[in-house]
Amino acid sequence: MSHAVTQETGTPPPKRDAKAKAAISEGKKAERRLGLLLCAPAVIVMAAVAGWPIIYSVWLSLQRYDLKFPDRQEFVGLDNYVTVLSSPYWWNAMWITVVITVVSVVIELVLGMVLALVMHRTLVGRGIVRTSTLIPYGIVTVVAAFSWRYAWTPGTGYLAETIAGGEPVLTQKIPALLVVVLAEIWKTTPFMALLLMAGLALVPDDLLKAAAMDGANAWQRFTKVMVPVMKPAILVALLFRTLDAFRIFDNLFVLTGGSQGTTSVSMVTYNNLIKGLNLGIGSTMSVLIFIAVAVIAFIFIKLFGTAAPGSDNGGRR
Amino acid sequence: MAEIVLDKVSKQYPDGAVAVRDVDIDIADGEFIILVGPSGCGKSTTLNMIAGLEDITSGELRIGGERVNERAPKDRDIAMVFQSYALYPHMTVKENMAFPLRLAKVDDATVEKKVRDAAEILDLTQHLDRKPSNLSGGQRQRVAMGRAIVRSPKAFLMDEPLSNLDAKLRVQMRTSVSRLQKQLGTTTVYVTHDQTEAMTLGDRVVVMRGGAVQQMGAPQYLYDHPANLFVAGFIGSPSMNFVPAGLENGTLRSPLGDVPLTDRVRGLLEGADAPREVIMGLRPEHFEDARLVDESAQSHGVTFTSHVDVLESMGSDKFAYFSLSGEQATSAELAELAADAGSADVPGEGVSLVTRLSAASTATEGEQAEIWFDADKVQLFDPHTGRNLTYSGD
Repeated sequence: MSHAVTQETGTPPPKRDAKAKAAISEGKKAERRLGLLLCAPAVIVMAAVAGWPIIYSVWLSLQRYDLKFPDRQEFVGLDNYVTVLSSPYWWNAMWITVVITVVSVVIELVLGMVLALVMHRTLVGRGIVRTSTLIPYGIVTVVAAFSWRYAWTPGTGYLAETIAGGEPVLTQKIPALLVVVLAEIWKTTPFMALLLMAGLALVPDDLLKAAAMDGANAWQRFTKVMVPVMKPAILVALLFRTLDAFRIFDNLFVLTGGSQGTTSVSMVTYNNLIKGLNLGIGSTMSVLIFIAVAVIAFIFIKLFGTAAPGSDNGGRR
Repeated sequence: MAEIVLDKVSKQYPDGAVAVRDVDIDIADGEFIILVGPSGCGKSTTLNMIAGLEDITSGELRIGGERVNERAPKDRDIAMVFQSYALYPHMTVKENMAFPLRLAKVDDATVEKKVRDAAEILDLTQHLDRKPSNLSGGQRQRVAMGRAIVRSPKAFLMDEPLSNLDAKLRVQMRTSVSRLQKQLGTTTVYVTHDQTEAMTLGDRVVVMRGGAVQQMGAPQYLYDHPANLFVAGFIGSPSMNFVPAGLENGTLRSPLGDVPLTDRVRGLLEGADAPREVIMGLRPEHFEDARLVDESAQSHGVTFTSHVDVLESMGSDKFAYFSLSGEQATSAELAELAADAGSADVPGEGVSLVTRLSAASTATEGEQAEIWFDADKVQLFDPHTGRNLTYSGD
């Protein structure tokens, strides 16, 4: 029925249409101009602080530009990309980054969901529970990373003595990575929990009551009603955390310094760009990280249907 | 299908607040019973306790003869329709309706058949593949009903299922709910705050106030014989008129004139140990334009003359509004009813009176009119206890 209606109203006599267009165009124009003017300051600031550096890095990535040999700067096209993409160091870093990202985000999702449910259901001392849960997220990452390092250092750290039996875990690849993942999870689970809790608030109580009446047990209510309804919130939380985890730097920098092949892509980039002063190769890596992040965001938004932040679709698809 | 028995059921929250106090209701198999009352009267809590969504603090709930206090909602075999419909937004109409059957691990062919049958009854067949967000309010309401009936449960619980619909649709759906219940013959407990729904739908109505049952009975009986001021004021629209009056030597002195008491009323008053100050209750339809009442009838009624404030002609009859000088009738019950109806905020002085006259009445707005009322229909209430002094309790 609605089709018929839209077809009818969708094709008014062409004459009237043209007239109407002419009549509103004056007001519309002024409105558009005002809109553009209002946007302009934000656009200019964004272009200056975000747009220009991106363009400049892309430009640098096409140059041979090593500050150790400043006079040998020249345009080399995609040579830098070939160099980076055929380097085992890069691929090792990529692999480590992906492993850390996937493992930590998956565990964070599960723990975050548990925490969110606890916070959502808590009736007594709700404020205290929420605040204490959020403490790790309020601590500066580098500070937290240092305390983890001391804790795992044999001789001084309590964790090294009690759990690792005096072994220097941070000097071995796999244990060191586990410690890094642990530090990541400890630090960002509260953030995940917070986002998921916002999602839980989207699930009406009546819906869960109805499911209980329909014969669903607690687990079925969770999997068949709660999760599907809060899916948009879950995907947004996953997207944020994945992007964040993919750029892991500070924890690795403090805990292992990238030794024993525990470098992430961000660390490799830092080593080349800042330590190695190789602007060309470093910029190439930055651009590659940029592309990787864009691909992750694209996959989440296009394939999983995550609502892009800011575009509210009313919680349904 | 089964009978539901509430035996001294109470609900007390951990903070000490009592939501429901010693409620005794016997609901027969196949009966349609309405729990009605203003918000906060405990009707929804009572329903939730029957559903198992809230724990029962004391007392016993039996469904089909078995004690079910400790059973989870899913083990009670009852279905519920919510005010918000509570449809699963990620499922189609078909999936929504099939959900309880899928959870019960019913085989596909049976699910398909039952959903089709329910959709046919509720006229939803062409909407089966749509999502709830694409349905109108009335369609969503029907899907919620569909989800309840596919399971053929022992009982239906409905929590203000029509409150979210607009007025016209509500009247239509009211009839179809009634028809559906008759057709299926399933025991139904229906919660509403709307006295019209209560009057029209139920076999029996339970009026609740402050967590306690005020009166229980057939709608017409409650209308004719309210046990107290609260029930009298709650049931009926426009509601009963309440006028303060005094009892003196077997006569009732009221702002409408002296009302002679009939022998029946006098007998009841003697037995009830009536106070001297009472509240007189009169339904709007017990008034009539004095010119339309014949002589013999006039003799057993009272005639008074007053100024018509507002006259509303409904076509079939006329509503005439009067305001009389004097104090308004006051009691805790009336204050609560006024607060619930929102009329506490309406400015007005003196006693206001709503009368329903025949369409033939010549009463005119802004002029004096002579109005008659039947003295035998007068109900008298104790202003302190709210008790109906003319209620014989038969």
